[in-house]
Order: sequence, then structure tokens, then C-alpha cells
Amino acid sequence: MSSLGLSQQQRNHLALLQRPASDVVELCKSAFDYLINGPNLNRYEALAIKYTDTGDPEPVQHAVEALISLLISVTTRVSSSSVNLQTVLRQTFPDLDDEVLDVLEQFVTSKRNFVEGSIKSANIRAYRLVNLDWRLEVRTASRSLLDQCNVTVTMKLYLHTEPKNENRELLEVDATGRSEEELAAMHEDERRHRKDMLVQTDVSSLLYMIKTLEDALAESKTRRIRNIVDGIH
Amino acid sequence: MAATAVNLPSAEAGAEDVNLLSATVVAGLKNLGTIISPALTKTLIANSMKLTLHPDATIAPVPEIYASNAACAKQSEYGVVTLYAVATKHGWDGLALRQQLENLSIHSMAVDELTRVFEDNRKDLILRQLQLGHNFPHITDVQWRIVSDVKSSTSDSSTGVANFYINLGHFRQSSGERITVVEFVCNAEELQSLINRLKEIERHCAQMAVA
Repeated sequence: MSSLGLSQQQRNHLALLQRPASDVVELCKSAFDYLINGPNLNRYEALAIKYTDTGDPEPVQHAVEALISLLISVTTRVSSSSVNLQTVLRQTFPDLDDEVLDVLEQFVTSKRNFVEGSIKSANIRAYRLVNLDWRLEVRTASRSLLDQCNVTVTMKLYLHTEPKNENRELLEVDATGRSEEELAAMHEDERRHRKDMLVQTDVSSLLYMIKTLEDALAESKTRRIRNIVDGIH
Repeated sequence: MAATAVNLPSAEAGAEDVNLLSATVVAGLKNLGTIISPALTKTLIANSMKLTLHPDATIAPVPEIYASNAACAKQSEYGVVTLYAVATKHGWDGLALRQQLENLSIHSMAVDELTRVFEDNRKDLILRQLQLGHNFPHITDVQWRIVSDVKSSTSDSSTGVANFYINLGHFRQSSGERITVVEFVCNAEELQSLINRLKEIERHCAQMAVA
């Protein structure tokens, strides 16, 4: 049993990796495509004709899905240092040659951030600040005070529960060429995970906010915090 | 009932013949120093001002105010609160208030006391009326905490990145209780860009002040 925790079935599905490195690259590309566009049966059929005698797309699809499982396992269980990753892959797939292992390493490393973001988003979702619009205003009169000169800064905070920009952009790109139902579902998802807030502040509170946030940023760069974060990583 | 509303001089009101104080208010003011004794008038004015500025404040009960003529006392309280609200809204100073009251033939002792209390609290009244009406949530406080994940239900390893939980809020004026307006998460890069954006606003404010 490898430290990646792949099931025997998943390992069987990955038997297709015992091929030349260029073929494995094709499979990895199909897995990338799966992440963005979902399964693509035509592509699997084309690959099956090349790889198998029967031309059955099922083994190819299973291999692609097992690659996704591998990607998730590596992201959740292995730290990002490359030495460690190489060792784990070598232990998990002792039959594969070095060139194929290199391709696999590249595959899992390149999409690590994407998968990490998706996994985080499957966990507790907190709003992230993605954009801020502002307007400087002077209120000159109101119902309760006809003569005034009150400077306010009105801000619109755009909040989103998607944890990484990378994922959000992919969702947006993904919208092209989709059916009406799919687009409606995506917009619904967007609506549920989005929150725009209108707030205001005054100039002295603004200065106080800047100072406090700068303190927070400076604190995060101290050796103490860095040591703790590195320690638990 | 005879119409006893005030007609403001057009120079002050900006429009002719604007009735700012209703007959009920004027009648309430006329009770001060007459039906209501001078001593009680002072207490009534002080209490009305305190209630206006601090609606949640606990005011020591003064049963004597309502002992002999409760309806008149209530009407006078209403009159005083309304007078101060109207005076503040229209930007009257102590002199303008005094003129208005003298035109209404209010008891001279009541005029003196109403004017003195108004001048003493004018700034607070303006600040209070600035808060009235529709506003977006006003941010006056920011709290932060730095958090790094260790392990979770969906991931066995830490991401090795410290995140900032930023909480923007304000304090309730009466109780000092803190109200959260919005809370969000950002990483160091996003926080830096938020700070830059806020500094950009500050820069524009400074430019406006110079101009």
C-alpha cells in the first residue's frame, strides 16, 4: 500500500501508464481537459484506438479518472517539496520508467494550486475580497440637517466564496459554448457564492483602517509567524 | 383652534411663509413658565434635551412634572424636542432661536432657558442629526487575525500560507457595542492590494483638501 492511499482498482486503472512517455502526456492532457470541461468520450475513443486492440474507450476513461484521483491524493497527502514527491511517486509506481515518472510529477505539480483551491472550496467557505470600487462624496444636505458639508468615502466590496482567482477565471472561461441550462445553473452558483456590500467611512477612519491593516501585514512577515507557518506545513 | 404657526423671515428660511412649528408645538412651548412652574420648566427642558441626545439613557423620574397637569407637560416635552430638531435642521444659532421664541410670545424665563440649553448642546444636536436618515453601514473599526490551516476534513496537509481574516465594523453610539458589518478572508498579496487601494482613496482625499 503506497502512502498515496490509491485503491487497488485505481492502480489497475493506471496500468495504462506503462506506455511511452508521449502517450502518458496525452493521457495527462485529457485529465487537464476533464478538470475544465468534464469527460470527453470522443477524445477517449480516439486514444483507445491508438492504445488498445479493441478500441474500447472505457479503460482510457478509467485511466483519466484515476489520474484525477492521483492528483487529489498527491495534493492532499504529500507536501509540495519536489524531493518528497519524486520519492512517493517512485514508491507508488515501481514499474514505471523515469521518463513517465517525470511526466507524472509535472502533471501533479502543475495543477496542484487548482486542486488545492477546489479542495479548500469544498471545505468551509469564507468570503474573499475580490474587488473594491470607491467614490468620494460630500453630503451637502439631508432631511434632518439642511446645511452640512460631510465628506464620506463610499465603497463597494465585491466578495466571493471561491478561494482562488485561478478557479474563478476558469469558471468564467468555461461559460462559453455551454447550453442554456448549464449557463443558468452556473449563474445560480455565481449568485449564491457572491456578495456585494456597500459601506461607507470617513477620512479619519480610513486612515485608521490603513494603519491597522499595515500592522497586520507587517505582523505576518515577522520571523515568529513565519516559523509557526513553516512549522505546521 | 387658532393657527399659531411661526412664519420664518424669508431671509432665513430661503422661502416665504414656511410654517415650521405646528400649533401643538407652539401651545406646548407656551405652557413653559406659565402652567408649568419655572423650576419644573428647567427640569423638563433638561430632560427633553437628554432624551433627544441619548434616547437609551435612564432619566431619574420627576413625578412632580406630571402631578398637576400631565397632558400639558407631555405637550411641552413634545414642543421642546420638536423646537430643537427644527432649529438644528435649519441651522439656527442661539440668537435666531431667541427671536423665533420671542415672536411667539413665549414666557421670557422659558425663552432664556430654552436658548441657554440650546447653545450649550448645539454641537451635539448637529452631530446627532448628522446620523439620522439613510446611510450605508459606516465603518469605523477594523479587526484582524492571522490564520494558517494545519489539517482539515478535505485535506491532510497544511497549505503553508497564512491568511488574514478581516472584520470591518462600527460601534453602537449608545452602548458602545461593536457591530460587524462585513468579514472576509484574504492572503498577503490581496491584503497588500487592499491597502494600496485604500491609500489611493486617501491620496485623492488629500488632493481634494488641497484643491
